[in-house]
Amino acid sequence: MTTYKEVFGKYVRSVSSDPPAALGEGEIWYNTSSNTFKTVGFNYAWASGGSLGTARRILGRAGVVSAGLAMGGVGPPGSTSNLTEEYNGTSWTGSNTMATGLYGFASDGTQTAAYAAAGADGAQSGSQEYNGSTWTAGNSINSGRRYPVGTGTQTAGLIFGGVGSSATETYNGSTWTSVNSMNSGRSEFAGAGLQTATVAFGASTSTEDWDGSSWTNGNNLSYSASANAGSGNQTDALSIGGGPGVATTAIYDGTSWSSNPSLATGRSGSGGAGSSSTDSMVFGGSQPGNTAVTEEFVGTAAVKTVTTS
Amino acid sequence: MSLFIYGTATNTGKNFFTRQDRLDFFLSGHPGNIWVIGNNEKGAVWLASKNGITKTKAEAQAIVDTEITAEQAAWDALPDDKKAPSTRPENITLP
Repeated sequence: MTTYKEVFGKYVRSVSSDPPAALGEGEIWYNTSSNTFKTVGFNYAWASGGSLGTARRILGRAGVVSAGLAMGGVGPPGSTSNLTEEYNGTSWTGSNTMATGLYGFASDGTQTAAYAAAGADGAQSGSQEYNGSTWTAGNSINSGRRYPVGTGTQTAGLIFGGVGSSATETYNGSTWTSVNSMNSGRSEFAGAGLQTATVAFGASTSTEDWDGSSWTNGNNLSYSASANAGSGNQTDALSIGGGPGVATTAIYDGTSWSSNPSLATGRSGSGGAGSSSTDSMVFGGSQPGNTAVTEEFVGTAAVKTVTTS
Repeated sequence: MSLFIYGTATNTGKNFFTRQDRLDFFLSGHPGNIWVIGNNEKGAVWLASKNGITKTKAEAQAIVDTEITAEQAAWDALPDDKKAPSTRPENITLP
């Protein structure tokens, strides 16, 4: 049988009292007082963040909780929005409008270097880039479509799926290149990750992993989601809401999904941003009825007893 | 004693509800600024601290129903390519 030391190069230490949770992250130890193995896990909950200046749904996303970006979407009453808002971890501030208003499009990147591509009305093929201040038009994608998902960065982007489409394209900051298609075309779903490591999930329960060259079917999402939001990365991703009033949250560890605490405000068609499960937020969407509400996923380290179940 | 308190309160943004609030009591937001709150002391204090107005379950459900009916009518009136998300707003039954 493989030992802990053979895997990690260290023995499991024995202690009479637990170290502080913040110091024990990533460790496992044996508590001689309680005769139990201990480690550190996270206790998560959604907390309210600053609300968007303008409530909208089917909007774009980029960035992280401390420097997030929201753009476009459907505003009331069914109007296409070109608004851009930046989040600083507390509140949203308006910025310059998009070159063209969009909804149901792919986007990602950072607050100072984001991209947006494809989208509705119709099946758009245009792209545009944000530099932290203004949007400029970029080159067109190869396969125009609406409701694809985007991940990655402005210089290493990835878009995939869309209505009636399984097409995948990479972006190098200048040119879009068609690459291997998804196994199952889909729309109104979510994704998280980078150009070389992305996970796509939703529009039912199916999951697909992208390794930089091809898509592989993964284990099913723990709930059926439609127009869900995504955040994080391929090995630490969140699926957030998805469906009228759906508040469910699930975390993907690169292999399987686990259920986590629910949103306070269930929604679909919202934006998700963040780099991991400990850096994730959701904003906007349909409650139903457009909402401006932002929620942040907050995890606090806590000592936990290891069990075999 | 009922499991939940019902009330209206306007989400004011950051810290309207905190992580600790979510651990202390059940909280679920719905159209019409309706909140369903776990019926314990901390839940009741939270609603009061947000200048919330307590409603009966029937009153809260009526507010939600009115909002959903309006959203359904608005969704029905949209051209097909603007019906986004593509799922028509569904009725919500408060717990």
